[in-house]
Amino acid sequence: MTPIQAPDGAIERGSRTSRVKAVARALRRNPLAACGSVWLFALIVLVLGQPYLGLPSPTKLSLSNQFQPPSRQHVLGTDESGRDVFSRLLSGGRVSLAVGFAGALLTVLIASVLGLAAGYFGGTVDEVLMRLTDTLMAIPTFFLIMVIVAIWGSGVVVLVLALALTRWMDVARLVRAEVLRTKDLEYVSAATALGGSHWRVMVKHLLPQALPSLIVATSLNVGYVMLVEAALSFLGLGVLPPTPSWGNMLSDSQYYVWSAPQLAVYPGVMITLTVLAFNSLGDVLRDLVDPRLSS
Amino acid sequence: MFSYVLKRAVSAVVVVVLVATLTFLLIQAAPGGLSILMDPNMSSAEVARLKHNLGLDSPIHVQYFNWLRNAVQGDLGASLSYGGRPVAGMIMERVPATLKLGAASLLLTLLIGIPAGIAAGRRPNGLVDQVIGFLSFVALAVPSFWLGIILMILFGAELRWLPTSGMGPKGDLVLGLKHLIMPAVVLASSSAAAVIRYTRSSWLEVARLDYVRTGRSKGLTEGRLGRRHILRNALIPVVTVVGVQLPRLVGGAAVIETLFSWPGLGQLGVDAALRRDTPLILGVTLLVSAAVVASNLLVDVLYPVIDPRIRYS
Repeated sequence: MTPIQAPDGAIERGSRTSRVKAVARALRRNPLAACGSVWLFALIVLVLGQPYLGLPSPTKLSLSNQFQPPSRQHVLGTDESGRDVFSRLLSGGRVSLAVGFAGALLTVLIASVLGLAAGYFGGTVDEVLMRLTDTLMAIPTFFLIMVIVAIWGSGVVVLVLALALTRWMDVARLVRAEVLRTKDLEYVSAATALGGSHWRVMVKHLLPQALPSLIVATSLNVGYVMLVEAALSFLGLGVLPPTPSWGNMLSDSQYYVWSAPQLAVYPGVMITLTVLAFNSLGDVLRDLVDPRLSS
Repeated sequence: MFSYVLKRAVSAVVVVVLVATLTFLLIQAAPGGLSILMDPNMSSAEVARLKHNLGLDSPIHVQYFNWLRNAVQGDLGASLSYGGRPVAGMIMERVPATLKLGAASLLLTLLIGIPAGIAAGRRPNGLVDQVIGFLSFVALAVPSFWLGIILMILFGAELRWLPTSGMGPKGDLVLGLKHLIMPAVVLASSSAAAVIRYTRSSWLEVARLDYVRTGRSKGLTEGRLGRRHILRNALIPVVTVVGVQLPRLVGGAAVIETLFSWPGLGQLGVDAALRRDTPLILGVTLLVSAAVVASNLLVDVLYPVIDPRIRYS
């Protein structure tokens, strides 16, 4: 075992360059995660650059151009409304990735606040928050999200909120455990003795200890959020047309499964590869942060 | 033991009531109120009468306790979109189909997950382990409904081996099974992957314990050691995973049932959500969470029976 992998998280202690080196070394050992990182990088560049690539519009209807095979002008052909499939994959990817990142970050934010509060204050606050956690974990999350979206209306903002509000429990427990581990250490007592406010102690002294775990949780949650977004958009309860997302592209494609199955293949492959990339990257980072958890 | 079970049962009931309350409040807080009251063709007098008939003109807490009192007696109110049919009846109609699909996919999950997990755990980092590990990793990243669409294209449209929608006619057992295969496989895919990972790591954990080495040194064959000594202990934590997977099976069922037009509770829930049929949404949510909480309770209560080292506390 290399010194980088020493328990207690070499990542948080090492200098910035040694952290980058540790990640690079771990990626070399795990080809799947290395490919995943390349894929994510390329994907992000492509979806952000989509408006500047001179591609046909992703939303312009052209009923005389339905179901075109791949050609010079339409790299992957056109869909049932004559829209360019490649262009739609990129701009749909932008929406799906944005929902994924926003959902994962909001999840981690909510989890951090509640986990910090539960661990730091203990007592009744802890008791109430942990019971709430138990309750939410017993509900089929997907149903709850469906209810929220159905009642509050579909759309990106409601979707991200619903996802985060039903997903923070695992991460909150993680943060709480981290706080319980560190809050009685000398430096924290020193900060309190020097007159640091609750807020200051929590944010400046306790939260940084949990940061590596939070980065891992974010990476793993992006994949989860993208899968749920796809499922909801597929049901017509997520991102609504004309805004393309990988989920609602799949939803449209199901009516042409017999005549144009390729329309169902592309978005699914994109989702799978992207979620695979986030999951493998998350696993690598987790092994670096806490080698005890590795399989 | 009795007091432990009682305590757990009481807290399970509390959880179900909390979920019902939460859903009720979410619906009450909806912006703009109920959609059926927004019909522009209705005069304000008609809206008021409709509100009165539905009991919507009383204060929220009165509505809530009325709903709860009726729900306890098995009356979940009338649907808003299916011509006022009683919600409880509509739900009960859908239960058998969901149970059938759920049982089939749970069976598949265990039949695939446990043997594959053991095969992977027997030789960690061997070829079998790497192949199984890669497959289960991919299975966790594939959107299950997309897997469903791909199977539909392959086995429904191209090969024409399997039907792609509904449950098939009543009484025809073979055709019924054919209808069941694709939805059950798709629903089982991601939970089987989770069971594989758990079984593998639990097997590895047990296999390095002292008593296993003792068994080996006194000359037990690997097969006997695995079957009689490792497996029994390694499967104990897997029971909890099944409990954890249950809500996922139920949630996944909503999408898969819709995709395959399977007339179950999940499809009804999606339908209710799309139509914003609030009594129906409330009813389905209540029943689904009660089922999940009850099965979690069952797992908890059974746990000490399976593993006598764990005591009720």
